[in-house]
Amino acid sequence: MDKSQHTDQHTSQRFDAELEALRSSVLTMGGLVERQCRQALEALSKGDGELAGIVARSDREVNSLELQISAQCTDILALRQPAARDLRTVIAIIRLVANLERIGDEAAKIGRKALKLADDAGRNSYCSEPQHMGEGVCSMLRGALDAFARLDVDAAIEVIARDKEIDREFKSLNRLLMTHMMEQPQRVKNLLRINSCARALERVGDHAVNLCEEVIYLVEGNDVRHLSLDEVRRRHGS
Amino acid sequence: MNNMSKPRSATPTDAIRASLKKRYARERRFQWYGRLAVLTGFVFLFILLADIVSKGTPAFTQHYIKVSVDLDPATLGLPAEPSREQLYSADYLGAIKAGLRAMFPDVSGRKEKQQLYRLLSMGAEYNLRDKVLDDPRLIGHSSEFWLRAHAEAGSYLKGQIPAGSPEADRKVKDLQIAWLDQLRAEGRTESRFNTTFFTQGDSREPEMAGIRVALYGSFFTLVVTFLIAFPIGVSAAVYLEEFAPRNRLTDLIEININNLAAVPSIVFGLLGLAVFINFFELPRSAPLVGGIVLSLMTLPTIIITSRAAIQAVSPSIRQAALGVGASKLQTVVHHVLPVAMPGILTGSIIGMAQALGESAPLLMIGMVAFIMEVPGGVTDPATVLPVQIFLWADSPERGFTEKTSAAIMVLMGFLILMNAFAIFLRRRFERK
Amino acid sequence: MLVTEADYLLAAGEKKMKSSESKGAAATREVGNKRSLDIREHVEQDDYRTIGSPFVDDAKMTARNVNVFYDEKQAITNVSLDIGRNEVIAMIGPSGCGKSTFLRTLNRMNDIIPSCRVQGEFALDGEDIYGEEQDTVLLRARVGMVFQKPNPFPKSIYENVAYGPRIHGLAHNKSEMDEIVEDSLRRASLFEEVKEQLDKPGTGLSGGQQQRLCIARAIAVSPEVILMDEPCSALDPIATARIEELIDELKENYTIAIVTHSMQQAARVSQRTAYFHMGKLIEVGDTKQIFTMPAHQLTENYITGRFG
Repeated sequence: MDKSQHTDQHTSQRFDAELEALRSSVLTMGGLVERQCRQALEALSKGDGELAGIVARSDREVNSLELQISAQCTDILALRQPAARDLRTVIAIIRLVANLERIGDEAAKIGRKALKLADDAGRNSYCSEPQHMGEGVCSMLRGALDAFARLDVDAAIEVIARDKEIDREFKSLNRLLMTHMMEQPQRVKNLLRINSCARALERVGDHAVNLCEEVIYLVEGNDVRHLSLDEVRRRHGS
Repeated sequence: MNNMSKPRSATPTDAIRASLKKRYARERRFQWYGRLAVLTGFVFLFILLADIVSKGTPAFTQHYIKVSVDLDPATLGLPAEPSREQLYSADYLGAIKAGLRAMFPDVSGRKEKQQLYRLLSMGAEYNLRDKVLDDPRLIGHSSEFWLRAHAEAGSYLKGQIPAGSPEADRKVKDLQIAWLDQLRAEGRTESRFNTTFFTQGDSREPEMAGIRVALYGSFFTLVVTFLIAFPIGVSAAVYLEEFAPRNRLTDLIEININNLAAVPSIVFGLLGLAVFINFFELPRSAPLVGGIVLSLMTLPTIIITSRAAIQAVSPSIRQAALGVGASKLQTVVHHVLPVAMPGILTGSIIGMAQALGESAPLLMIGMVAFIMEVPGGVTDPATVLPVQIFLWADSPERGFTEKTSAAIMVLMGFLILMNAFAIFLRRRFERK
Repeated sequence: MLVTEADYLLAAGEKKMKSSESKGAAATREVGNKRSLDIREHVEQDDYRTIGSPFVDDAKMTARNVNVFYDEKQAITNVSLDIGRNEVIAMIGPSGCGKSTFLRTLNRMNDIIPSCRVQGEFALDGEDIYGEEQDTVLLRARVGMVFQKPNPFPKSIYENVAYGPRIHGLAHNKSEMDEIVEDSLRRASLFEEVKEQLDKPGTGLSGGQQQRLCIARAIAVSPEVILMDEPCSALDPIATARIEELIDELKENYTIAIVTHSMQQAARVSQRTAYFHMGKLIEVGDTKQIFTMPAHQLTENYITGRFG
């Protein structure tokens, strides 16, 4: 009996296998979404219309993964009646995939905007503006997925902390774009597109934060959504 | 899980199929052994019963011989106006003898006459007397009377004497046979149901002997046994099973009770003799003492079976009763005993049946006496059926052989009745 | 369009700040979380101090430092637990963990086992259960019990229910008794099914009906506490659901302690759950908390099925 306490194995090995499969599906989906984001960012900054088109259409795969994972979760809930940590895992994953799917949507949106911006000759003057912020967001997303893969609460909190920086960057980008608009009123339309790309990236950052909150809920059972970073830290740190 | 599907030369199904035949054969064989055993038992039982019934049935009939008797007051030695006492003590035997002589006028000689008289029972005299006492007007007239035949004559009339056997081997002599044949031819013999067997006590004459004393004795003895053994046995069982603490002492008591059940019954008889008769000076031969002795003998059986019955009551019923707040005694009386009652009764009745068939201990306390008087209570001297059977089986007269078997039949009837009663009680309690 | 978007962007930051204070639910959760954090400290130490909240403010029954032995074998080690008024407390744990034994100490059903020795302080409404002047008959009338296997008496349905009131003298005449019987059967939601056959034997009912009859029998003597020892283990899911429904109704008037092997059942019927392991009370807490985030690893393992 002592042994079984530490091996973390279910009496039912198939349940273990099912949970493992669920986790790896989520990571696959996460990997897809992360690649989408990077590609969208690349298409935007390099004006690569072809890549932008690919990104704009690529959320189909993500959507099907979302459906598949949802079905897996439903099955586990119905057939295994998970409790405690297993229950939290399933609940967290249900919310995780919703967030991932939205990140995918945001990436596709950036892809669509990038496609439209690709033939603007003067795009070089402004299209690389969100680049830095985008890279920050992508690394947040990667961090969140890492935290999920390793069930690492500290890493998750670290990712949440980075969101402030992104918000700040987004605000200054906002102002910068405002200035551009005033200087080049003929480009307002495209600048607004860039703005919405930036907003999409900011949203991706927020979603990454949500992912991290789910990781904390999964591991510790604390629902830290809608709490300030300090509060989250305090709860974990104590 | 592993190697399950590994191909083998013969699949398990084939192996099982191959062994099936053998298994079924073994099963069938075993069933036949069982049937054989049951059959053997039945055969023995049948032989025993057939023997007893064939030997015993004749005892339920009694032959009567019609004799013309002249009730002349002179022969009877009676005055003109006889009182009842005088009628009672009149010489009916003489009258009967005269009647017999009149029927066979050519009989002469003391020995032959003796043989002639012995066609009728010693009790024929009393037969006649009773009839005269019933109707004194018979005096002075000559009438025909059906008089009880002697046991030996009766046994010839019942066809129990094989024709052609040497005369020396039988009590019924050739002359008597000739007379009896003649009487039968004249229609002067008759077979009737033997009421004497049930209405009279023991007698030296087989045709006069009955089991009434033994029946009453057995009944009184069993009543005493039941009244003593049942309450004591059940109370002891309830206490030991439900209340007594489990310790060395109760273990010892339990072992001793079990041992007591195996003590030879004659030892209880000796005990009864020493304690109840010699020490307490209770009357000898009385059903009271017999009952006490038998209850001692039955007690272990009742205690053991009652304990088993109480033990068999599901503990959940006890818990249920305790759970609603019944006290221990309430639990036992309201719930455990009613459920255990069929078992307790069965055990008790088995014990009683044992007691009914017991003779050895009763021999020791004098219930073996020759008693003609029907007992009126538990302190009157009496005998019991098995002892009566034992006594009769010991008697040399042919007439007693059939009485023995007949008494056994009655005893068995008694037992069957008791068992039926046990089954009836069981059914009733179980339905509740 | 620009304006609305900008508004949204500005609002987003504040919204996050506000929601934590504005929502009352969040505040209560905070308290719950705080407690679980306190608990966590104990988890690390490998001593067997019960974690969670074994004590309640409004306790109907209390047990302190309970040790139970069967001969030399210790079945329960140093368990302290309160049973709150009008609550359903579920006791769960693997076989042989002592949960049934503990339940039986509460109405002294262990007294009938000679080898059983009980230490500790027990009180019912502050009154010592194992005290000299405590009468077990009275105690068991106040703390009724329903057993694992439905065990109606081999008597009529009416008699089954009437037995308790009769021996305690609760009814003074036939009509009062009829009333008690009907009321008890109604409260056990059995009356409608058996009203035509009250004189039929209780053993002729189906398993679920028998168990409800046993519950009716238990509540006929108006106990204050009802102990249930795996009451549904012999029943099918429909019958189980009816009993659970019944437990839910009964908690309005009674305090109920239920031992169960089915974790789902514990989760469904109870407000508090106590987890026993090898004679020790490992964790007690709100059922919701125990089933979503148990503090002790053993509880977690048991609840998630990681036990051999």
